[in-house]
Amino acid sequence: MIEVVTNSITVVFLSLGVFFLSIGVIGIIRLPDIYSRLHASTKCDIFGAGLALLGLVVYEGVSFNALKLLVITGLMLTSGLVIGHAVARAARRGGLTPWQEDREELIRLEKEKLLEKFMEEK
Amino acid sequence: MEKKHLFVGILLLIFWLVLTGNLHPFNLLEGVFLAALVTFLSHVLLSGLWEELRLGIRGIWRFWVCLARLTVDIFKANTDVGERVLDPKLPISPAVVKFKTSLKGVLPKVMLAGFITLRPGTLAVDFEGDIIHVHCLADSFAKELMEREAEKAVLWIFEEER
Repeated sequence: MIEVVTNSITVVFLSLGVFFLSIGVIGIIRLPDIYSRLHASTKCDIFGAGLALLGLVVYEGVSFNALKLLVITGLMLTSGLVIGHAVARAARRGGLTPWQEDREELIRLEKEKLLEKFMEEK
Repeated sequence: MEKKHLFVGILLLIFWLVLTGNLHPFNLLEGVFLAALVTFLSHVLLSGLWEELRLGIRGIWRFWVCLARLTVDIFKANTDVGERVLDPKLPISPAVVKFKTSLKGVLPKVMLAGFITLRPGTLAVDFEGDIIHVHCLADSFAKELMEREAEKAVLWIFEEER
């Protein structure tokens, strides 16, 4: 009976974790630039992986492996934050400007002008 | 070889034993060797930043309390990113704002950057002295950031230390 309860809690945690991890992946594909992609990847990766690991802790019950999994969860949390910050900092110091809506519009207009010029020359 | 090196070495050995999970003599020897090696490699960090990295027992306890409180914010942050990403129109208007902090010391600043990244819609990008450049997914998050909830939490953790 207890097994049924722990197993269902595990399933809930694992499926929530997978859901948030997939949101992170969709975010990386859909968002426009590196900074907003980092929003999706750091937050959702930490939370999704953390939930999945907590689900495994519940599945293990009180044991040595559960302690190991908890240590790994803490490690994921800190390393994920630090890696996200390092990537963002490297991007900024490398001179990448953040994406903005009106700037995107300007680039599109500029491209159209160039295209018109090109057609005229032909 | 000072007291702090011994402390860090023993901490690393305990970490190794938790991760490997047996007390076989060879494993123990390996652990001692690796702990000594890592302590030696992090010599620069230990000599320069050791005083900055200290946190009392009360501080450690308060850090865990803050992390537990932050869990709600982390959940909100994730659902918010999810809503924006799964919306076909992709409703984001990113902006970079500068956030001036009154915190001194290395560890409080690291913690502040971590808390800012975990809270909804904000990402700590770069440090320049006391100024943090923060990337926000929308303007409303910039306003929320200026209420300084994250900084208050860090101040509360380090209250007893000074």
